[in-house]
Amino acid sequence: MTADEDVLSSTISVPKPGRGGRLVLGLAGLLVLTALEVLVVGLPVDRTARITALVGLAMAKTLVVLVAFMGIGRQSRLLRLALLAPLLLAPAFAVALMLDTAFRVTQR
Amino acid sequence: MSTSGASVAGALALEPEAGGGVEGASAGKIGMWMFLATDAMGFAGLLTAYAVLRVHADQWPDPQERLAIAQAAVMTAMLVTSSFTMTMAVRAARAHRATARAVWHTATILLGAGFLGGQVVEYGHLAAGATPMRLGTDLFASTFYAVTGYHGLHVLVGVLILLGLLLAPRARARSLEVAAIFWHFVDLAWIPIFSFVYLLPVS
Repeated sequence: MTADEDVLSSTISVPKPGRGGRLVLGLAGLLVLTALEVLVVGLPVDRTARITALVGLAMAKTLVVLVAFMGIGRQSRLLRLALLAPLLLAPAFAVALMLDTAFRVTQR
Repeated sequence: MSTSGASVAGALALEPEAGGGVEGASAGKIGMWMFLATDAMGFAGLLTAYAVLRVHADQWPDPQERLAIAQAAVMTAMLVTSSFTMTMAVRAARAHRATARAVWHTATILLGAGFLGGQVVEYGHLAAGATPMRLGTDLFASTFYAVTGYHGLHVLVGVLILLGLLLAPRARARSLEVAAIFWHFVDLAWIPIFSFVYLLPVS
């Protein structure tokens, strides 16, 4: 291995050959989660339950893409935090918006 | 749009010279992550605007009544599969397997083009349906076209960049990896759009 190749291999996260199964598993997971999303919409359940399920499935899909395809686990801790923070903040923001909306409705 | 394309191209252009790195990442990779951080705010802004307008609207149509959910699900499947083929293309490129790289790379482009084709067909059906839904029809239509159109432009840019890398005789694996980050982001951005714009039920 040349010095240039050595630097390259250390600067770019390269999926190892053994990770092929993990990629296929990730793809299968994403397809199943997408199918579940479509199924959830048709379920005769409470709207709140459907929304909760849809948000949960969307977050699960996001995590699968980040972990299986983008290799977030192999990135530096700073980058991981920067990427995962929005994932945690988004539902928190959504809950705050829902509470705000509920409050406004009760004030009318 | 042009800014997005220029930024992505800028990050890719950094790659050939990238030798060292900051905290283990190449210059092109860092450039792409920084670009995506700003681009994500664009998507977040659009989705937040969509949510606020939807919550405060007196009437909001049920997305299932207007949109073809099954077709959108197939488009979603194409996009997530393209993320898989993109990763396989990067793996093949790193392993210096040119044929495998070309196959996976081409598959990614075809899947991306298929997604765009699906979007064009969807827009055509919506605009020419029994009750045409155009940009100015109502708030739902405006926000729908704005959000999905913005994402569609990203897919188009991604497809063009991947096409350029496929045709470039000296394209390096590093450039492909930076393009892959952008492509995965396009996939990531579609996930909340599919959930909130297509599937979220109305009260």
